[in-house]
Amino acid sequence: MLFNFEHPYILEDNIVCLRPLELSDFNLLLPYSLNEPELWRFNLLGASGADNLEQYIKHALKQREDGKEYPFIVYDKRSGAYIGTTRYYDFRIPFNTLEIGYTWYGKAFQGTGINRNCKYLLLEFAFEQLGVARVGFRANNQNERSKRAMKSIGCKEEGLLRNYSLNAAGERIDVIALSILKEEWHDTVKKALNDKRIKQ
Amino acid sequence: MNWIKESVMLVGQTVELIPLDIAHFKTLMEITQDKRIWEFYSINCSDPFKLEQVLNAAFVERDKGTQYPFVIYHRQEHKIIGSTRFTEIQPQHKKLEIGWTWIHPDYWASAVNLECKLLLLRYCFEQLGALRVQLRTDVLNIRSRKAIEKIGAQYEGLFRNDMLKDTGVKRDSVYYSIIDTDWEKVQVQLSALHERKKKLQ
Repeated sequence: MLFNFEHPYILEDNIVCLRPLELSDFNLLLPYSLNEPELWRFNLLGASGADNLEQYIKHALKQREDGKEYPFIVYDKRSGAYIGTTRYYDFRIPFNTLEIGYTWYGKAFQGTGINRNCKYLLLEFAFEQLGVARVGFRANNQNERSKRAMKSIGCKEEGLLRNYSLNAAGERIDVIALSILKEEWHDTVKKALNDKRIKQ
Repeated sequence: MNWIKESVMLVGQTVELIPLDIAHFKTLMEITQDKRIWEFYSINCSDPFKLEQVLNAAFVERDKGTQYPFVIYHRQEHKIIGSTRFTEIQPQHKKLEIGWTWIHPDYWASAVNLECKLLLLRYCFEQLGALRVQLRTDVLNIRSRKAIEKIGAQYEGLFRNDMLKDTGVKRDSVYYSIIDTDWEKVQVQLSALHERKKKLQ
């Protein structure tokens, strides 16, 4: 896998554009942090409130600088709005795998199908440009929306990891792990996801 | 701030787990010549050069607080017979993994591994206050899976293409764990197993 953390990767189709997250995106995302704090109910590092959002962005950028994670902001071409973020993370270069996560969208954009466009772009890039062997996904086991979304994309469930993390309140979180393999992408997932994504 | 702040020495009846030191390298290079040890590993460290890289990497990870490597010292025979590590140490989630365990085949199926696990797990749950200890192995490594299941770890899933071996072969891994609420029961079971195994020898 050849990945250059310094390079500004831009992934887009007719509907969405994913570009690298920047510090100045604070103002674009702030309305969600102020008005929809429940978006991060299941997340360890949430962006609810202005202070948390600032930390969230700074942390994400630091992770990119350290070559650990690559955060994107998601732009919706139809509404002309920035609607959320997503990320490649947990790059395991020697094993040729990575994870997709830290995905959230403003409520008005949830359930609109736009997530499929984002995932199509992220998966296509990971499997076809980077050539990874596996893309992993994880979710809080109580986050039914997230689990449904992952399964609808074509992820296979692999395991339930107990006490996998602690949330901000110090509570134990069980995490469900899913994945898509390169062969599955080419055999079935790519076509099915392409059929489902919004075309125009 | 590292979770494990002080030098950790875990003393059992048969073995002592001693922090890895550069002085151990020579002995480790001798015992790891046996290729049976490496059948399921991502790296074949019967090559001393590769072993040295792996051991040096352990020091780097120890400084970062992400790993803590031990050698396994046999108290009656006065020699080093293997190595094991805490890996994937994440204090913010109070969890870690036990891995990179290799024991010379002369001591496979003895009480050694059971005692190592007993010492390591007791340290994790009773000293560190861990909430999760993970164990992971190649799905094809039946001997290792049996060993993990015997100590009472719970199977959690099969992760496909979890690793890539240096031979270019993809490795599927099985994940197991013991969590804090399992520990009491696991300790009783593991201690009994360990006692029984020792009597047989």
